Amino acid sequence: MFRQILRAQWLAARLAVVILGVLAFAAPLLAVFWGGDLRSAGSDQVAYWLQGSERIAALLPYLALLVGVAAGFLAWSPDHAGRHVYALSLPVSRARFVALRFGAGAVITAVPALALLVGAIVASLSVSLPEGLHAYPAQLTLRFLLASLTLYAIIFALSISTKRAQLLTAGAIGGVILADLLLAAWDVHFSVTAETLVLLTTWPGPLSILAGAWTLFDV
Amino acid sequence: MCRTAVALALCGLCSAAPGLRAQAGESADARDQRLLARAESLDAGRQAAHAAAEARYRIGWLAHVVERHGLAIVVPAAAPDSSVRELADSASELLDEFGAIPQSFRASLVVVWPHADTAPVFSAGQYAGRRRVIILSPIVVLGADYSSERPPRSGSMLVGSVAELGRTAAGAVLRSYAKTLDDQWRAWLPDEYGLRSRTAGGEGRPWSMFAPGSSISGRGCLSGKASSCRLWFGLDDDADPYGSRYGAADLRALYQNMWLHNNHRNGRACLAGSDSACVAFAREIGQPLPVPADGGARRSLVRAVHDLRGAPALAAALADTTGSIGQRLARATGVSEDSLVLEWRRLVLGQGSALQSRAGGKEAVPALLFAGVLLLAAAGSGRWH
Repeated sequence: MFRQILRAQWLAARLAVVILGVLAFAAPLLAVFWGGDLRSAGSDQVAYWLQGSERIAALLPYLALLVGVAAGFLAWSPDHAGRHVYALSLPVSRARFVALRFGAGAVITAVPALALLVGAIVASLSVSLPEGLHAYPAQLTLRFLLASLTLYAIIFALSISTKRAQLLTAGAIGGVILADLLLAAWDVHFSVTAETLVLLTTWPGPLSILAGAWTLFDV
Repeated sequence: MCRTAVALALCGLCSAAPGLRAQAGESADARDQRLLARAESLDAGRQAAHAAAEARYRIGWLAHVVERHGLAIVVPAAAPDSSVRELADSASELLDEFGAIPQSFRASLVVVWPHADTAPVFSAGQYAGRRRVIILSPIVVLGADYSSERPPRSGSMLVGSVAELGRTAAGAVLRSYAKTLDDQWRAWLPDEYGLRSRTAGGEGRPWSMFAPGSSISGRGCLSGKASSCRLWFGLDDDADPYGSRYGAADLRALYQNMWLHNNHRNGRACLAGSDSACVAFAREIGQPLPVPADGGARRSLVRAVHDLRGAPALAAALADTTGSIGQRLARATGVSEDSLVLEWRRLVLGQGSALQSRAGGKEAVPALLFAGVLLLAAAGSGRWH
């Protein structure tokens, strides 16, 4: 049954996944687009090259976000369109069906990650690095995959949640923003949003995978 | 009638001719004298005006002392007062932030900018016995209108920004303090050591800090070897700096681009492949510097000690005169030399923030747990919608 669900989800998400996969493959190659013979380069040249590589790397978290959001929305979009008639007609429990859907979506998020891995390996092989610099294609791909999976899980859960849960989530986000506005109006130098983001993105926060090193080449 | 008119005209000409002849004869001398007198008069006027302008110009260069927060600065009077006060504040702020120089030392100095007529300042009075710290770059640009009724002071402006000039003054104080330290510190400390960086940070890693092509110790430090970092910084009292801190291949690569080897037996032998000759040649000519880490790297180490261990620790290290540079830093900070250089490396690579980690098991756990919790929440929801 998993194969059928995977196929159904792939048909719904293939266009977005292919486009994002191409982007993920191309991103590491952009870092080495202007050449990569650094073994004999001066330290200034290496510094500029590393800066360019970091600029490209800054795009990858956003790409992971797109992958997660696209996979999460498209996991349930056929069911939303068909008013869940297909799902309700299946002889499986809701929990099992949701798990199968989640698994299928997780497999789909792995496609752009795989494309990123291939691109990173090609970029790593095409450049000669000076001593002290290394390429980290596997670590970069793992971070990308985990970030996509985390964001996919968030959007997946929000998509299937009840209206009440969605309203509670939106209310919580709105409440945090409102608290910040009120504190700013009272000239209090404390930001609830900033503190919340710090908690979420600092280990062991759930979004800590989005922080950290996204560069393919580093010391 | 016509003939009469012509005759009268001729008579008039004849009567005027002697007068003209007399005037021409007179102007040859009198005119010259008249013109000469006029020229001398004009020249005297010009000289008087020039002298007046010079006097006003000299007034602009009289020394003007500004003392703020215990730091005395002597500038030309032409420098705008408010700008000089801001400059002094900027320098004092930098020195206060550094904090490793005794206040009494700062109070014993006078920072002097050039072109100021300082004789009256130092001949008598409260600044008579103070040490002078001379800055070689100019501080003011005067307006071109020397003939203006206003004194040149109002037409002058500072060369560069107040912040930059303040930094120059603070750097001069630091250099002066370094001269009071012992030989080891004087040889090791770079310019503007310890001053807060101009920029808070920047993108990209400070790759150029390590200059990996220059020495094997630099490359080892970049890779994370504490012993290599110590060699690279020259923290230990090495009996043979060139033998221990540089590889023969690094020296050879350096000398290939220099002409010095042509007249040296060791230089030629080094390029021919002799490793020992490379080290001997380095000792002979003293190139490159015995400490592989350049001024920027050493400056960043001093700054790292300040940021990580505090200004009192750095002050104690600077006042220490026993042992190697590394031992002094270790005693003052209470950590080993290896720990100190690794802390510096982490700070440099992380650009002041925590070193960013590579994705691994530790980072995967929260992500997978969170995804699992959300899956459970989604699966346990009570109804479709």
